[in-house]
Amino acid sequence: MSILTSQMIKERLDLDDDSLDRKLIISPILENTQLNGASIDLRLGTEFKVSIPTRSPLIGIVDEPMEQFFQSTFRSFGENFILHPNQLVLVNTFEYIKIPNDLVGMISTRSSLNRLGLNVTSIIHPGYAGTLTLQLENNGVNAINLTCGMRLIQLVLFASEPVPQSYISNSVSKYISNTSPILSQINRDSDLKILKKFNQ
Amino acid sequence: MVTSTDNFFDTSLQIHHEQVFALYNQIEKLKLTSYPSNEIPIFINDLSSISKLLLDKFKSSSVLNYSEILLYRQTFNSLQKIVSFISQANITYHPTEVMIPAKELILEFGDETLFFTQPLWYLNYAIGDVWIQFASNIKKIFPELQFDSKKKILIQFPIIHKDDVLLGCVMGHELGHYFDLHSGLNISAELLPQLLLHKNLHKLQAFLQFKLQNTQITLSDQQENRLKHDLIKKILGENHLFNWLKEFVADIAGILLYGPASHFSGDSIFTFSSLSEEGHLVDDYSKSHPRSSLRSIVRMATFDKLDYKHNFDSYIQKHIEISEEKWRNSKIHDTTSFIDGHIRNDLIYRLKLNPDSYKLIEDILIDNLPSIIDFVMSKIPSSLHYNASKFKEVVPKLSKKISNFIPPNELNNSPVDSISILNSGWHAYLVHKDTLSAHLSENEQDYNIREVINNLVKKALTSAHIHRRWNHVNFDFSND
Repeated sequence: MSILTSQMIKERLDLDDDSLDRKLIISPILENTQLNGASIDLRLGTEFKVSIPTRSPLIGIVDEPMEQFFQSTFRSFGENFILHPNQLVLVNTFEYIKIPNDLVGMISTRSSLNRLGLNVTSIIHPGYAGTLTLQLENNGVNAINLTCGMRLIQLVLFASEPVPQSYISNSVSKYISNTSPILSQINRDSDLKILKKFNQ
Repeated sequence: MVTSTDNFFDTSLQIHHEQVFALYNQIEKLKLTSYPSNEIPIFINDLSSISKLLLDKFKSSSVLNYSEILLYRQTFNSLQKIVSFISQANITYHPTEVMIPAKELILEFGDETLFFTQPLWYLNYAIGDVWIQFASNIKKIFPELQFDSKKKILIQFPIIHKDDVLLGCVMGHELGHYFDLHSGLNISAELLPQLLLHKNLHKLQAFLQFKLQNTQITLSDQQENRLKHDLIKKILGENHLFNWLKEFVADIAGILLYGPASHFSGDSIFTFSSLSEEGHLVDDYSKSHPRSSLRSIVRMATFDKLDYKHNFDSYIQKHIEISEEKWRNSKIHDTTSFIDGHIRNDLIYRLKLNPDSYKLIEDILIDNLPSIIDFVMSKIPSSLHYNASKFKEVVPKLSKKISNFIPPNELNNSPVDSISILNSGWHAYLVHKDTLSAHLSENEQDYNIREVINNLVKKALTSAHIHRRWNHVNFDFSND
């Protein structure tokens, strides 16, 4: 698997709409300087889901819907968001991404933010379409002041063999082209039904 | 004159004070919420100031009599109503993306207006000025109060469709009402005199009866005809004709501002509201709104005038024709009603409204339709007009993006305008539904396609809006 340089990323971005199967979509790119070296910077979005304590003592593989453990909040582009120590927050990227079937993405926090106590990593599967959901957690002792629209993460892309079935056709429509932060789907893990039987 | 030794008076003051205090507390709670614009908290502060002044009035000994109590109570009731409108204008209930194109158009027009939204639990969109009358009255009671001069416009929308930007294209029609009635353009008011010259006013006299209360007065035939003529003008000008004209103006303006998206969204709502048990559309007469089939004629005539019909592709043309036909085949309920009224104590009148007289009124509007359309186009600034060639050139490309699960916010790395984005959403919904549904799981329904398209269009509206502002700010910086 080879890493795409910024030049190669640009070529994939600039493919015309007749080559949509190979075209990389990252939209909108507000500044060309977001492309650098072998990655592209992506920005903090405006819709947040903040983890909140509830009556349920447990989160994870539970019967309660995941939505009850998070509260939605919104900011305007350019407005600040404060991430408190040990607070878990889900947020979307400002950019909408569509990755062709022959690319894999990996995201990580920009190093300047890593050094404040913020750490985000994730893999983006071939064929993914939507904004990216980032889980922000402040590992420091001070609250971190973020601005919606700031460059938060970098996306690195790797060339791969085309996967036979894309992310879109494997997903239910609720998560196709999602533009809000997606909560954990751990409760829907297909192995759980089998694992339950182990205990019976 | 009542003095403060009147216990009942003191008790009345106390009761009113408690009511105002309860409202004041609610207003203070509203200050703790987040709102979609910085101007709403400022407006809430104004409402808080008014409630404090009312509180002071009921606490002090400056209220001298029951008439004053009632005056302030009336003010309290009006204030409470305004607070009720704004109580759910917070960011949780705000249809953010639906409002983006509307706010852009208002800004382009140059109006300084505070919009706030109120969710409803039924299918209705409405727009109105909730402030101007109240502000005028309150200034008389509390002349020391200082307000900003901004209009305060309430937009009501169905909460279940908060995120349905496709249906939200009805905002085009609502903005038509705004420009007509609240922006100083006075389109309907300026058109009405011309309509009142139509020959059908004479024919409508046959449906009018009146009776003079003073039996000693007799009128000549000429005087009677003149009186009937003036009565008809008054009745039509206050009721059906003027109300229907305002809806015509809003329908025309809706297409002018929002393009065909205004038609598709409105048609969807009318169809939902008009379906009968027998499976056809019912097209009833109403004082406030013209028949939906008439409105279909207005929209088609507007498309013709704006040259859309030469710029629709075959799929869109087909949908337009289906819509036209279903309204042509709608059934009207035969109905008879009356408008009763009086002029002081001198005269009582009755106008009979049946299919025959309704037809005469409708023909006044239809016969004047070309000039109504021309007038609306001339009054609304051309910089706000969406045009058919842009629909033809841009919308299909954006729609193709949606069919590939890409938000339609830019072409060639440049942000596109909000109205093209909205129209691309409808275009994709009508033309690419099958392509999109091929990607749904077996147990999912068509309304999930609508959700996908709405998500993509919402994202596009936000992204393009920010992208335009970014380029604009960037340009300013680079030229400093």
